[in-house]
Amino acid sequence: MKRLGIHIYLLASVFAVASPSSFSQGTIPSDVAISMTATPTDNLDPGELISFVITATNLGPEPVSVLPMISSQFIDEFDLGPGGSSNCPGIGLLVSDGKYFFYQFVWTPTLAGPPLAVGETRRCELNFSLTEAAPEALPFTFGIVQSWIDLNESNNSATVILRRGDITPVTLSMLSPGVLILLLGMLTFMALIQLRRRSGASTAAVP
Amino acid sequence: MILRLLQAVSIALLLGFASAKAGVVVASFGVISSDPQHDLFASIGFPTNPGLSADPGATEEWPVTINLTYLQSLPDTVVLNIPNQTPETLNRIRSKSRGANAFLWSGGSEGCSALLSAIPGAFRATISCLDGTYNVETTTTGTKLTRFVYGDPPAGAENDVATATEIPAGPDTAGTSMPESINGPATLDQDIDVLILYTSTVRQTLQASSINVQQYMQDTLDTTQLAMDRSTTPGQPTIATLNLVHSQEVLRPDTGYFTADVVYLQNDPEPVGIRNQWAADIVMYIRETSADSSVCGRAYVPGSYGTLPPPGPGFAPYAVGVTKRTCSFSGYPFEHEFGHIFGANHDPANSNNSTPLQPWAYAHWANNLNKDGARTLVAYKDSNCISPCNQVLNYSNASVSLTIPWTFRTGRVDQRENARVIAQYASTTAQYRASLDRIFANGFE
Repeated sequence: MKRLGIHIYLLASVFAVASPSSFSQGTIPSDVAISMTATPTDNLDPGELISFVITATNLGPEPVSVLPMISSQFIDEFDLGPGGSSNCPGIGLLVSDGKYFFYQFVWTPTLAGPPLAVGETRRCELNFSLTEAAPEALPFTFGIVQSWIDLNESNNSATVILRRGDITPVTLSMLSPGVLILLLGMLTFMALIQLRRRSGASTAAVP
Repeated sequence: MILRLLQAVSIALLLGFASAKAGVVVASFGVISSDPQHDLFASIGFPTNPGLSADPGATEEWPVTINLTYLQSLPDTVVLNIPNQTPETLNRIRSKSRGANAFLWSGGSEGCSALLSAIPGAFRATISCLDGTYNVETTTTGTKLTRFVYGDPPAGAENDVATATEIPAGPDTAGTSMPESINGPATLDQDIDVLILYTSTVRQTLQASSINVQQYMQDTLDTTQLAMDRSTTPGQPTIATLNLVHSQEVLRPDTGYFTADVVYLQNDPEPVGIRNQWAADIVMYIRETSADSSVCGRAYVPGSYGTLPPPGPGFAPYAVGVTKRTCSFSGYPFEHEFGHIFGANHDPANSNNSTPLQPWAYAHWANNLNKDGARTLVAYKDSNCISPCNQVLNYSNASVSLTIPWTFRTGRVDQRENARVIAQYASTTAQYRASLDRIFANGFE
């Protein structure tokens, strides 16, 4: 149940970053485009290093003084431990506490550098892996914090789907060949009985 | 009325039996020790149910009078005579006179920690015991002792870990410049200077109960200091020394999501300017409300091996935390988030175990022979920790135990030692801003 909840919120958090804001506090006087790539994304094994590259490009027309970006939420799906590395000035790991906890990356490139000039792109490189706790498919999003407004909200976030290769799709045993043959046999048997009954009923009805 | 009388007689009899062995006498609903002039409470009235406006977790309260004359002398010991508990003698850890009828006193015993704070006309106390959490507030209706029990997450809470409502908001204004540290004296100070910011809603809520806001903020940090003191291995220097350099209300409204608040603390000219002005190593922001009731606080965690900034100059802009003033899951949300900033983690079962700054930087909980459980400040209320799984004012340390009414060793060697990671990085944290050697408490009265 807990893991189901985790996956629901992970999915929800994708929309949380990508959807338009309901209230506005921060204004970015420019169009900032966010992109993210991950390599590899498919057939991943826990512990296998994934290279993430997140970029933020100022498409103009004004320099951007504050640019806060945030990742989707995670608990223990990522291994940030030994082997992990980054080249990402301005990134921090935020823990949220309440009934339950979760983590998010917050990347504010303007915190560790000058304003983002028009035409400039800042890169964030992160290398870490999935853990055994990661689901078969894990969407991971980076985007401008939701209540900040820029001139074009359509490119404010980017999502990659990370798919494990070591989890075989769950097969329902009822659909195995043996069970299918058994089901077919039962249906045939029931059909024959039905036919016989109808045949008997028809005979009886004939005067 | 008859029911109350019966209740009174029953409790008095029970207390009488319980206290006979401890050499105390029972008076009314309170316990008066055999040396009453050293008691914290000079008198304790009838217990009542806290009203609906009480802080989360409040379950029972007693009108009390405080032995102020004795406390004013900043004594070596104070007898903690809480109702329904055997009196415990607290030994002084810190004390300070703040002028006439004003003082700070903190101390601890085998089972309890207590911070006692007075200014003229207002006495406050935070009391953490292995089997209960209490506070004392002086409000318009008098001085009251309140017992708190924090509940389990409600059924189905798994699904509100975070939802689409968990949307971060942005800082109040854009266009800020990057924070810069103040050029201060070049001495290597060891005190961690803390700035506490709070919203107008916090002030209004406190003032509505006639609580002095500045005293409240000073007490909040002094309670955290008491946690540091109580988490220190006996005979060793205190793991961290804290100093409230300033406390101030900010313009930011008490709305929006906590993620937006940390972005605000890092980028907005108002908090950044105040932090620089006061050369604060750590900034904590206290709110009265939360847009998502399932969240009580947020803070950055340093380290994570090579992936994120470790404690040091690179982490300084991230040494910020946001917390609700009161939380229905914990009596110490401020101390919890404060611990994170040093690299303290939750208990292993409730932590991403690949991220610790140190492999032993975890919180701890334990059970007492299947009777009850307890947890340290950064631990979660694990489902295996027997309810109420009381939270004590300790960061995990295997060398520190509470022994009354049962033995709770607050950590495990090389496994659950948040106090150790706080001690390890306290000095580094104290260098986030060059100290201006200001002491807030000198002036707030």
